[in-house]
Amino acid sequence: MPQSLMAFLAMLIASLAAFNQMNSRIGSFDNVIRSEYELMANAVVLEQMELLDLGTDYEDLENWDGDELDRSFTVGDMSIAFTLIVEVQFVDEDGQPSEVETNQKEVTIRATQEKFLVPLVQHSRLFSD
Amino acid sequence: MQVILDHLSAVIISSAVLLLILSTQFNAQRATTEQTIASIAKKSTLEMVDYLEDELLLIGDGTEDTIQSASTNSDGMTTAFSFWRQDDSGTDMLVSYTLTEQDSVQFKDDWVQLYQFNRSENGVASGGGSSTLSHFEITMLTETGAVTTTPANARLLRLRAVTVYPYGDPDDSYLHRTFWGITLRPMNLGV
Repeated sequence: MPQSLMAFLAMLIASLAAFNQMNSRIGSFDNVIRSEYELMANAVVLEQMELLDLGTDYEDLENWDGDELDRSFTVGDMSIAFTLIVEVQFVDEDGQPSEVETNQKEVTIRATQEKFLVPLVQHSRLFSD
Repeated sequence: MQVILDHLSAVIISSAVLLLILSTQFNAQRATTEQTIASIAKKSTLEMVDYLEDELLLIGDGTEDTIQSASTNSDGMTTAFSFWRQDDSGTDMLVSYTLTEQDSVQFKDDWVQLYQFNRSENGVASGGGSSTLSHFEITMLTETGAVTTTPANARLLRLRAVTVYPYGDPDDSYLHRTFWGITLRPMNLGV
């Protein structure tokens, strides 16, 4: 009986070690895959920020506030879809959000992806009149 | 008989435990190797693209012309891209990026063609980068984001690169490639 108990314990410990190792491996892969998505999201957000900067007058920036844009990172046949959420707000000289109109606006673009619960990347840029 | 059965079960159980431990050790080793390879490949890609970002922003800075030419192949890859910039002494120079085919590697059922990234100044080879690119693309965009092939209409440059990890046994690997992209606004484009 003691031998059986020892054998059972040995197998249990070995199984637990294997399970832990597998979990840690999955976690590492998840991190690597997430970092790939973040790099792609970064590219898509920065492009949208440049387009917004180039093509929008300062007075019209708030027209983008609340917009949700579908954009993709495409390489050859592969395409990953992202949703970009645009937020525009007035900020004061310290860069803090302001309820009253100031002479600078902060545009923030967040990239979300259906596989992830939280936004992958967020970029902000200040525009002044 | 009882003694034989005891010994037999002891051998079976100890073998099972030993196999579990060995398999765990082997998997841990493989995971570490894959992570290291992924990290090296990512670092190598980022080093190359850091340089590209800095250099492409200098297009046309102090020179009369900006982008001279851009060629793409049937897969949408940029095989040649030439532009003017100044060197450190303020002299105009024509910088060219080209891709040359390397070996192909097989992942599962797919063959992937690899490319070497080359750089030259006034036709003389100078620098270069990864030889494990599977995709490289510089796309010229207008100010509305439309793709253009006319340098005079370009305001933005969209860059895309994919680096493959041509190491180890691809059938046993889960990670095969790393992606990178950015869109730049060289201040002298479209001015």
